Amino acid sequence: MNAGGFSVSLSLLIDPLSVLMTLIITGIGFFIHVYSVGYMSHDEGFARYFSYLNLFVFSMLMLVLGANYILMFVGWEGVGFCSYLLIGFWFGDNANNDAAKKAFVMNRIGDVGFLTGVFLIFITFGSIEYAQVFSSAAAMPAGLAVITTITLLLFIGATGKSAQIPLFTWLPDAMAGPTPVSALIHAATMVTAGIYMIVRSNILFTLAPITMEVITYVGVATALLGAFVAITQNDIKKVLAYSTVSQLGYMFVAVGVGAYSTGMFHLITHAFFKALLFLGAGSVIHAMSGEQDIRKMGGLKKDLPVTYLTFLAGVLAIVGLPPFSGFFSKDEILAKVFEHSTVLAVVMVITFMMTAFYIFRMFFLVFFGVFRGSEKQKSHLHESPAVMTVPLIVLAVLAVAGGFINIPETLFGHHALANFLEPVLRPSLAIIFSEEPSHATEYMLMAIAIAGTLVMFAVAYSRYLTNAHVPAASEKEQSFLYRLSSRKGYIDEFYDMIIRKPLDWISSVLNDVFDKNIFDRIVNSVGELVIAGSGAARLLQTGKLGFYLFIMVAGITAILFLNFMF
Amino acid sequence: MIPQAMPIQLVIPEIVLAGAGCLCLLLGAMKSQAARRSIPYIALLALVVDILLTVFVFKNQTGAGAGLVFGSVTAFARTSALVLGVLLVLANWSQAKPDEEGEYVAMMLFSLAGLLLVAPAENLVLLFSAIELVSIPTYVLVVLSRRNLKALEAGTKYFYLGALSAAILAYGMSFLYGVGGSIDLSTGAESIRAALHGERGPYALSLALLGIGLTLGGLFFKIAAAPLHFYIADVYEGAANGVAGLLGFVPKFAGLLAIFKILSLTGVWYGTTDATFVLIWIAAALSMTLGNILAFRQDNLKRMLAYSGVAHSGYMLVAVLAGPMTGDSGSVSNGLAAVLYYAVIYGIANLACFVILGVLKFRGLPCESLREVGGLLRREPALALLLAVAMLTLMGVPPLPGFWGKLGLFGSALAVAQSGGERSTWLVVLVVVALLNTAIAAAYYLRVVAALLLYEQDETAEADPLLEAQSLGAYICGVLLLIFAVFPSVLMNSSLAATNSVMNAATPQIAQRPAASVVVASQGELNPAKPQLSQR
Repeated sequence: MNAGGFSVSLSLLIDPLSVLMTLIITGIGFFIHVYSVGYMSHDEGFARYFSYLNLFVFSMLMLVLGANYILMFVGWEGVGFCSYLLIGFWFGDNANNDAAKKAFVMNRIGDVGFLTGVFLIFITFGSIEYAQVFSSAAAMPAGLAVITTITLLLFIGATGKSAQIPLFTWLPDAMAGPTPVSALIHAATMVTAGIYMIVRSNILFTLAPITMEVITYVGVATALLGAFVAITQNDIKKVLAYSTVSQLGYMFVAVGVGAYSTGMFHLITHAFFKALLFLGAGSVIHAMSGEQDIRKMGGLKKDLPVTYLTFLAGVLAIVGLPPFSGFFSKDEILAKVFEHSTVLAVVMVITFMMTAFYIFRMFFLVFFGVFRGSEKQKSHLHESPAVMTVPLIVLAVLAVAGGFINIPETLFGHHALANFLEPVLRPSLAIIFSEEPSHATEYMLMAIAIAGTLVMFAVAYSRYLTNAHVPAASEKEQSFLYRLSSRKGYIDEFYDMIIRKPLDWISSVLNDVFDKNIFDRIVNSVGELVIAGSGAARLLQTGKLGFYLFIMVAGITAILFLNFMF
Repeated sequence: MIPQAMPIQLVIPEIVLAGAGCLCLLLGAMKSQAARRSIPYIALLALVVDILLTVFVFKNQTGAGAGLVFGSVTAFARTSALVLGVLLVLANWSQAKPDEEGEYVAMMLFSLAGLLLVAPAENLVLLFSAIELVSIPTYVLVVLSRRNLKALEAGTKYFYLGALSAAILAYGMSFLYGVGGSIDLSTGAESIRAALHGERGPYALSLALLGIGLTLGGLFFKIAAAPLHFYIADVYEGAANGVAGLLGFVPKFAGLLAIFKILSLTGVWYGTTDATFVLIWIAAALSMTLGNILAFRQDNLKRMLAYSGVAHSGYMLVAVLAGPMTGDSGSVSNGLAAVLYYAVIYGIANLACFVILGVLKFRGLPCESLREVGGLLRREPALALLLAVAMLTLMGVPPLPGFWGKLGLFGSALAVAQSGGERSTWLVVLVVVALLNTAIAAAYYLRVVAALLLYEQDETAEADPLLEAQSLGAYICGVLLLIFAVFPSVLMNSSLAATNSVMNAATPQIAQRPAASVVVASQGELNPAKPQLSQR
């Protein structure tokens, strides 16, 4: 494509990073498609659903396979658009449309940053092809202001797409879409686009230490906030949504401290176990005839044995108990963060513990204890058909075994994934020199993480199983912290107050004062002028032949007059 | 000068049309029902045969003789006129009284044959005769088309005013002959240009100015440009819908082709004649503005379409000023191609509007005023959508072909303005006026579309499931519009290709315009490329 002197090639890039992403997208995408056949079988928008879903897969592949930033942006916008379509898939309910709009607008805010960053890349490097940008960047010194600006702008884009502070509030609302969509788009693939983009541009970010610090702290804060909010959510999908926000925070922490391959590792394991958890939740919702409130569930393990077992695999993976996949990726992050800052490592451990708590809380409330739903729901309980359970089983196997692709040396592995990605990361690795933490440190960190998880397991067990506690419905009985968590930290209200209300005020002033009184008047008077002119001109159309002849002669005379005048 | 003998095979399509017209006249006079019923079929047959001949046999035919010069523009004009002719015959199906069918169809064929002759005519007498061959049958058609006093009145008015315009045209042409010294356009061009430049003294100058002014005035009547548009609303309203559709294409296309021929005599495209430039500039601005203002408050759809036709003539005059010679050969920079393209698109869209109104009338549905077509979508969904598409085409909504057409018209003027010259500011101003007018026009077209699609009307007339010839015509119009919307380049490229020879002839002049002394001996049929201004 050419526009003036600017040209964009439609070329694709196949390298370890894009191959990895492609495998995730097509692999998990395939199983989610299979699952959807069962999940959406009763929906009248069956064909529409699959056309959107395939459009999404196309866009996502475009995003990860493009060989320049413009193609990435095409995919970036494409996935955002498909996400919009799928969140608002059941557009009959206006709440869904609001959620879709919110997701779209939040993403657009991020896109402004991303696109500006791409423009700046073009201005700085004279090209938007990865190959040229990265090779010129590698020769630059670290800490240049322009690189810092570029990376910060790109990161703004990433916060929109990957639901980080401050643009994360759309993701929980995005759960309005069908559950397989949440699994594919809002857990496994689209929301990781920000991570992919940073890892793809790793050399730029490596050269911008300030940006890296920003990413680290935003990641830690998002991880903590997401986990904190997830603790009190009662909607099964909301719990998982905030969990996703939190887990994406982990990934950003990893890339923020320069551990790109660790970020990608957690991206992969998270894709496995979070897709599994979402699909499991979908199976539960399916069995509960659409009910999503975990307070109305309970004791489902009898009726949904396959779902229960696969969900258990996902739970163990996300809380990070060995040897499940989450254990490896999470501990690698912890080790890298510990190297960077002890304080952040402590915060991360606290986050891990919160994660364990909310996951076990949900798990116990859904599958154990007594059934708390209606009689009608009870009579309807059933295990999902094979078309849904087979993908669950496959993903469960992946969630269990996925961690083996990158076993650290501490545990007698060879960092297979890190070695695989090494060609992509080579320029950055040359700059970031990090020594491996001692094996003793790593063992200690693992022990702390596992111990924290087990403690939280015990707390959740005693609270929700032994004491059979069910979260209260009314806010009065709740503590301040509980309310802060269940009201999502009042972030939506905060945005409403500082952004929406002032904007509303400005636009109503502009509307009342300028638009109605000035511009409308101008436009309307033009219209009135034309109408008046029309009325006047019609008077000339008398319909009388003699008059027409006269006018014609007058017209000819005028023509001749004009002709002689000039 | 004795005209060369004309190779007869060059005019076979015209002969076929005229012959078919005569046959129709004869059949119409017969008593046999079958003979009369066959009349429109014969017309269709003749037109289809002509289309095949033009497309396959005479495609690249060139040649000259007896004042006719054939080339790519004639081929384009022929093809489009014949295709529109098929649509016109369908649109006027069973419009006439049975015993007048022969005359009615014959008049249409004669008028079309006139149009086919205007394109190649390179000689004042032939040009005048061809234009009158276009016009005179239309007077008859207006009267024949309906059985009421209104049609008679409209026809009479049209005839009187048309006769006056013919007189003016002939008068103007006689001056041109006097100044140029030849009835042959290419022979007389140099002398006329010199006279307009004042190089032959004040006397020759005033004669030339008289000649150009009167000729253009007469032709403005044909294309219904202001200030000679007064007849149009009464005539359109009085005539049957099919005939009104014909009036929007056949005389207009003929008039525009003739205007190009006359303007090529003046050197207006080379910046040599200010008077003609100002004249056309004012006519364009006035036609657009007056046409739109008059259409703005019309409730009667036929009158509204009539006035909007005045505005469209104004739009086309913008590109006439841009002319066939502009800098680069992009699709928006050739004024002649843009006019050819737009005239055809306008013809189809305008015809579609009238045919649909005709079909409604034929089915006994009210269709005169805006209110009467309100809520048509519920009663006649297909026709309502077609009418909406046609209206939006006239309005110029992308991607409908009207948009591409307007892009070409105004883009060509801007391209000329961009290439510099003292008049570029004026061209830009004219384009601005045109764009403002397009905005005004949007109001009344959209009002119709809104009425069709949104308003509710309780009474439900029973739909006639029969596909009459008239609605077939309407559907073909709609299909053509949609085809040109999706593939705008099909027609645009052929109009560009048609004007290539004229363009090529004109292009060398641009670079050397200041010198203006290069003699290009070209046999291009419109011959604007001959500013053989000798530096005396």
